[in-house]
Amino acid sequence: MNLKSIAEKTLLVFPVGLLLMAADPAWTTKELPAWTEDDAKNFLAESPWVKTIKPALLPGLSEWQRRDGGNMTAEGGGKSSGLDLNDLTGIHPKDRDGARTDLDANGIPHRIIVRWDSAMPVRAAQIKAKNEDAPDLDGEDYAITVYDVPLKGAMYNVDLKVLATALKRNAQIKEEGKKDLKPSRVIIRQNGSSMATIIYFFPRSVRITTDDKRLEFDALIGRLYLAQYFYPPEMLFQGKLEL
Amino acid sequence: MRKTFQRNSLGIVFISLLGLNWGTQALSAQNTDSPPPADVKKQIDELKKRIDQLEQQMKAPAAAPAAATPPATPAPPATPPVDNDTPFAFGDFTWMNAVPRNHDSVFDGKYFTGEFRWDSNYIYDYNHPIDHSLGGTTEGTRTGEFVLQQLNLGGDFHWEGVQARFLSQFGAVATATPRNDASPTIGQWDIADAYRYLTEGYGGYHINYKHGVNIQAGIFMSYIGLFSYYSFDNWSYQPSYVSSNTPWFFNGFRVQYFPTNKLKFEPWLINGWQSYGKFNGRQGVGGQILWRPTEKWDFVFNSYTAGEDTLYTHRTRSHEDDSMEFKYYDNPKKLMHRMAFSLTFDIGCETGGGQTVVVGTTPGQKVVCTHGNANTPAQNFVGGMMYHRWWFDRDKFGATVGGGWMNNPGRYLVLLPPIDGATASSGTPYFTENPGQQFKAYDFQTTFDWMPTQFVTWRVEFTQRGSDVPYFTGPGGITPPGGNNGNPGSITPGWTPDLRKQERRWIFALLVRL
Repeated sequence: MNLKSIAEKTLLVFPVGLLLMAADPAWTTKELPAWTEDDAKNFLAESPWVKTIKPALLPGLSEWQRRDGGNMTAEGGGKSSGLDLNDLTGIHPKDRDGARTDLDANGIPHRIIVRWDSAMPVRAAQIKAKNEDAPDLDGEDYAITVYDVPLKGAMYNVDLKVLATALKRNAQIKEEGKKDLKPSRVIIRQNGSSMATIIYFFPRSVRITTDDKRLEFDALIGRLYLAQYFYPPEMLFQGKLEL
Repeated sequence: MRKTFQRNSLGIVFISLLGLNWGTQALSAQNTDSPPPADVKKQIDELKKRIDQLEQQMKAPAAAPAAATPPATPAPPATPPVDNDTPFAFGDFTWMNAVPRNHDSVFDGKYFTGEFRWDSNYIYDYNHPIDHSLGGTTEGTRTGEFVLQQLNLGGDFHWEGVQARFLSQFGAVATATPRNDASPTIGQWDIADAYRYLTEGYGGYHINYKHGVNIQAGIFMSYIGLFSYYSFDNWSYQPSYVSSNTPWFFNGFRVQYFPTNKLKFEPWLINGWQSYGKFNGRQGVGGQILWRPTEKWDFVFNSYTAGEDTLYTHRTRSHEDDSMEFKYYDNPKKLMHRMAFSLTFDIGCETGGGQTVVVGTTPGQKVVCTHGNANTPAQNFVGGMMYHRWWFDRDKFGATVGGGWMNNPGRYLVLLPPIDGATASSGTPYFTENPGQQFKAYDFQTTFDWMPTQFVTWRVEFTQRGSDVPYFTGPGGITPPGGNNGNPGSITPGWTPDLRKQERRWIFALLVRL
């Protein structure tokens, strides 16, 4: 083996190793003040506090089911129940023309971001990332935010307080062997005419620790069903559980 | 996750170090005489130091039992998506008797959901009545003819919490149903004509409390006796007596309260027992409790009391109607893919009377619920019915077998045969309904349905009915020669209706619901 080839191999191995080392996310290697805006954006996109969900669409309620259930305006009013799935979410093909590439053929979003927004590193990252969509939180509750929900059908001319009550009733944090944790309140923020950000607040009086291995957050929003796990043992920032 | 990062970092540094060592050793081997350059040695030392640091970090979490590595990619939650908010939306109940099987709505809109129903039949009666007239049922009027039994047009207006529903009724039911109600006899404004083309008409308001509260007033369906007023929704065309002879509708006020998504409480304050108006001094009260614990089970309990539902007497009627339905087999992969049955039991009675309510009228005799005698007869009702249904070829075909019985001393729930144009108001001397008179009856049905789409049913049914007294129309008919003659409550000289104890019929029906 000549000197040249050995040096070449060494030079190859070194940069690969260094590159892979650089793949460590910044939040695991840098102190908070040292985060760049990109570090913060990366954190808000991918970290144990953030989940990306492909929501499920529940079968539509037939007219009889709505009458039987005592509410003909369920789903926001007069949605057909299978003849046109687009009606269920209030998203029509015309909406998908052009900008709405984030929806699949049935009008369901390809992905919805769910973030544990009350966690200190998340809030810090939102400041660093100059995230104007960040909800205002007082820190008194756990807050889980569901971003970019297509709610046109369910929210169209509907009292947001009424809708918030329904959303509150249909969300929970579940843990095996424990009582479901229900939201204490829900806030809906409309983004334009057909999108919304929904913030679920859960009381901190129910303590979550790293002994809680896995939490399941699920929510029914109109006919969209979201469910995702969060792992408290992963949600450590500088060695401390941050929720 | 943090641990994973640490492990990855350690591995990468180790690989890098190996590469460096390998390179440096090779260099050393090639240049044994010369010492390694100072900068390379410095790098090696730094890397060794870094490895030591990472190893130290690795040791601590490894020793902690609570730091089990969670899965890198979360598995999807095991909980299947279910609507646990809308009452009774957690399952598919289209298999049930008295529930339409439609999954889709053709006329569903944001503010109005339209509804269209069609029910036409051809009834072949083995008695071959000369006047083509059927009696003793609310699901048939004429025999040996094509009959438009019921045509309904209407729907629901809905806007935020405001509700309004109306459904018209045209066809034979527009006369057949109102004639069973004697309450319009009292007072003016001809309320039978006012309401006869309306089968449902109510307004209301929905409140978002718990799983919903509705406050509604108007004419609404009763669902006493399980079967729906609309044949499309039912497993058979001719329901047994506990359904056919009990109320299809109420006129009044109701509250629907859904404390959970599986339970409904529905109290009523109504004019009376399937009556457009109020007979005497008191309104009827009652209510329904509906409970569906799972997709397989349905329990409904209907109670009624306080109403005085006989002309010119203060008799109080009470009635209890309880049903259950159970789907005990469901395997979509099989040709015969579903089996279910329904069971209904009714009990009731009347008590009181004997006082003159309206001056100039004859007071009705006093009655008691049980243990009556010749002067004060017992007047009560006991009945039941059971139906079993099979579904074939992905709901394309259905078959039902069932039947029931009733015992009604006093005949207060026996449908008056329309002899010579008789109605509940007029009565008829040819079939009296007085305290102390007995009436026992049975029936059974065998039904086959072809359901090419969810909106259409072609039905053929054999039904047999029998009673302990002549009641059903015989070959001679129930119409005097030349048509109805004089007052329906009077005797037509020289003529008597032909009433028999048994009736056997084939029913052919086309049922549409959009």
